[in-house]
Amino acid sequence: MSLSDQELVEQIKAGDDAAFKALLGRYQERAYRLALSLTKNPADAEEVLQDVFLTVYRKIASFEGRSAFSTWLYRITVNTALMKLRGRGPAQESIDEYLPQFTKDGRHARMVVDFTHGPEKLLLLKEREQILREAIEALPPDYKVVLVLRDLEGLSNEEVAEVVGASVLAVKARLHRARLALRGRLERYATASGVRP
Amino acid sequence: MTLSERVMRWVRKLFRGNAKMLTCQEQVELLADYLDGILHHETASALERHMEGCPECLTFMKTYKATSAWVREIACEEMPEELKTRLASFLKAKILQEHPGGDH
Repeated sequence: MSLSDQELVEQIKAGDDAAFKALLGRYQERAYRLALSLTKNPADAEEVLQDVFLTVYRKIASFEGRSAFSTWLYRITVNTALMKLRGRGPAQESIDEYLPQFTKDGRHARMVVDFTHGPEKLLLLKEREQILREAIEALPPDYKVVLVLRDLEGLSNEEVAEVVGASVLAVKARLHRARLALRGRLERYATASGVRP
Repeated sequence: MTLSERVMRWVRKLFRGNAKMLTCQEQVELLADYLDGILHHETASALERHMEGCPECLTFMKTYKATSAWVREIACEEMPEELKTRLASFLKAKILQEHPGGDH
């Protein structure tokens, strides 16, 4: 029977290096996926991973187990990846232009386009995926982190809140705006390509 | 449409007019909670009533829902085996450097 994360953590604290290797084997793929989703660059993701597991090794003594080990690891990975992104400078665009616009009395100010089907079938799987990848990359970091953790990593709102150190309400609001922005980009692409309901 | 159907339609419309009517903007703000199934029953009903008479909001919900589903379908790249080897070597060297007495 395999040991729990907490048991492995205790063994690492006691100086068992094999336990560290076991924990690395258990989490390196998840950490890599998250780092790559956030940085969109394999070389950066590799550096993030090196820093993350070195931090885990160095700080394991201070990990008290108040949150799950996975949450702690996700938090270190997110913070390390965000530092990498900050080093690239402010490349992200504002998401406001992709959010829905409303008139003063709360009606849609722009035509709402159904891009889920169309005679030209422009939003094919590959194309759609490419637009979405670009759209996720262009999200401001706070929104990107929440969307990646929730929709790509499959964490719950509560888990995401714990990882990013925000309230569940704040997580839900960011997630909603991120999804609205992605929807807006797909809509704009479909409109420019001539897809009509 | 018969006269009684017309009257019933008018009565229903009148009743709806007395209930809280959502705007498109409010509908969009409530969408995530609605799709998560955590809206209060009355609010969910108001949202559904709004969508019945608002094709734009119906389309908006359809496309919002599809976008979320498509994001979850994005294929994630697997970690290359050679990267696992490089990472293990990197950590071994670093840890040995910091703890020369360790068995890494």
